[in-house]
Amino acid sequence: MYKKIVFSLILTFLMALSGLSYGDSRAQAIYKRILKSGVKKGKAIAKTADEMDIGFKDQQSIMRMVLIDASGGKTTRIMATKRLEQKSDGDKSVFIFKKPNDIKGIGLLTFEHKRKSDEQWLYLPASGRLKKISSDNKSGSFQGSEFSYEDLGTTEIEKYRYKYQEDGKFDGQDCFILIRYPTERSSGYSKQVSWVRKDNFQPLKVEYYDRKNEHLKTLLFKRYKKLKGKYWRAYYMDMENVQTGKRTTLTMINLRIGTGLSKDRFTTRALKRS
Amino acid sequence: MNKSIIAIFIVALSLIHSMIFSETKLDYKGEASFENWIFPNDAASTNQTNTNNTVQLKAEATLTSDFFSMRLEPRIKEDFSERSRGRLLLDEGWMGLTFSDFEFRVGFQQFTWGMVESQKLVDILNQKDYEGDFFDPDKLATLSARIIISPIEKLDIELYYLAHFIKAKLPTTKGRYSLTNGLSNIQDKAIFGNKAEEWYPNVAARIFTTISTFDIALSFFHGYNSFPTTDASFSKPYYYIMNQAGLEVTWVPGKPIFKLEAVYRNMRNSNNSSIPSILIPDPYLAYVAGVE
Repeated sequence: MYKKIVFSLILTFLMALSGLSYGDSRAQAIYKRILKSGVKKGKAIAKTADEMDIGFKDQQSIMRMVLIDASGGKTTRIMATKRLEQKSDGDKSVFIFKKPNDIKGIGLLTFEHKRKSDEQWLYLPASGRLKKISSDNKSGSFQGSEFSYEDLGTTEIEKYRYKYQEDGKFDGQDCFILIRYPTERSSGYSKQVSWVRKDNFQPLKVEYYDRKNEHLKTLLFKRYKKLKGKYWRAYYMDMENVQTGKRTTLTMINLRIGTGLSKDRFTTRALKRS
Repeated sequence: MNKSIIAIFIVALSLIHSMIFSETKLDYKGEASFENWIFPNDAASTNQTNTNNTVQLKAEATLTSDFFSMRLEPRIKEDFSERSRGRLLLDEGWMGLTFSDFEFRVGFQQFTWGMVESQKLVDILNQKDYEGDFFDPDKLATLSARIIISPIEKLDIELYYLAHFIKAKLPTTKGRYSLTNGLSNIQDKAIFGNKAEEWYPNVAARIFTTISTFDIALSFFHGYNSFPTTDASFSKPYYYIMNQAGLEVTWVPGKPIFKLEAVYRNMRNSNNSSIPSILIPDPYLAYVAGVE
């Protein structure tokens, strides 16, 4: 009896340990399947990461954004975010500012589209105004941070060309080094160079190059966790503008997926109400 | 009477039930502000002040659960140059029910129509407080009920019932924006287009939709014109009844944003018998368009 209990405990511990591993056999299976279908390596890497995220349904979190200027001064903003997966098109998302008080209640609703420009609305509670805004200005800074609107949207595969550069290493992890070139003219970047982990196809670092092809920003992804046994999420992101020395960090708090959000939470009416 | 009490009891019980068995959230914030205005040049009348100091306290509390929400937004304003400009009022005070495709609110509410930044032709549901700032007046909450129905995605049908009309707060004797060398408060002498006066219900409807790169809204309003007309002696304000049809368009083809607002106002077919016809404008069309 004693041996059975010990054996069960060891087995349980080993199973739990395997869950903590960052390797992902599902990712490998998807990657092999896509490569076999004849897709080039660069696009296959991107498609694998994209396909791994299919089925999350919805996501919500509180996001703490810390803006750090070149001299180290900090400004903190808190946002509530919601995202709804769409089967045949890009995702819908809502950002609502919670702090500080002078921007509390400002909301941004985005309908991402795979093959046409995204739709965006901004709600300003001080005036009660709902404004349709141009999503072509996505290279602009999101609320004064080093993240642009383009950085915070989901990366639709169709909006980039991909090139596999070489294998590499970052932070002790084996990576694919992948270059992607935006196809949209409204993009603020000429290219993005990503270090993508070979075992789970999640990005660890992305270097952004401006339209003059100069290194503009570096984004680091940290504290990955696997939710619902399938979906990888980085709980910490650090974007540094290498040209100005400014940084913005994003920390996810209370991130949940598959919470049952309905599409009526992603309407202009709901934006005004929230 | 008994049926009414039972109905109210059922509604109240539903609200309490939804609050107890769902996640209820309370959001609140407060704000204190001080304003000092200095006019370097003397006004036309010695009654009109050259400086003005105002202190204002605002609070905002919103209670939300899955289906029920409630908001209170009181404001206190003290004007040290002219006490009559002091305010103690509710900027918002309403209760509401929200479902996936239906929303109902009742209470003191402020509404915002319109898409153009510079001229707000369509946005007429709320009365304005011209005493403090004539060119950028605060809105005054109105006792009202609003229903929004969303039968399909990207289509909202809004219906409004405005139970009580508030007379415009016009600049008074000491106010810098006073008309004709200082204007006494004449609101007590207001003449209304309907004998129900302030209790003549104003009604409105608005349809908002998104089609491709366009946001479009069509609206209709029947009720009092919020800014009164007056005769040459400025002795009485006249609030005539009008019908307004409105159109709002925002077009975002790419980086530029094109906007249009247009209204057609017709006062002639309304029952304004108590107002001299010479003071009632002819029907007119007004529009504003621009690009951002």
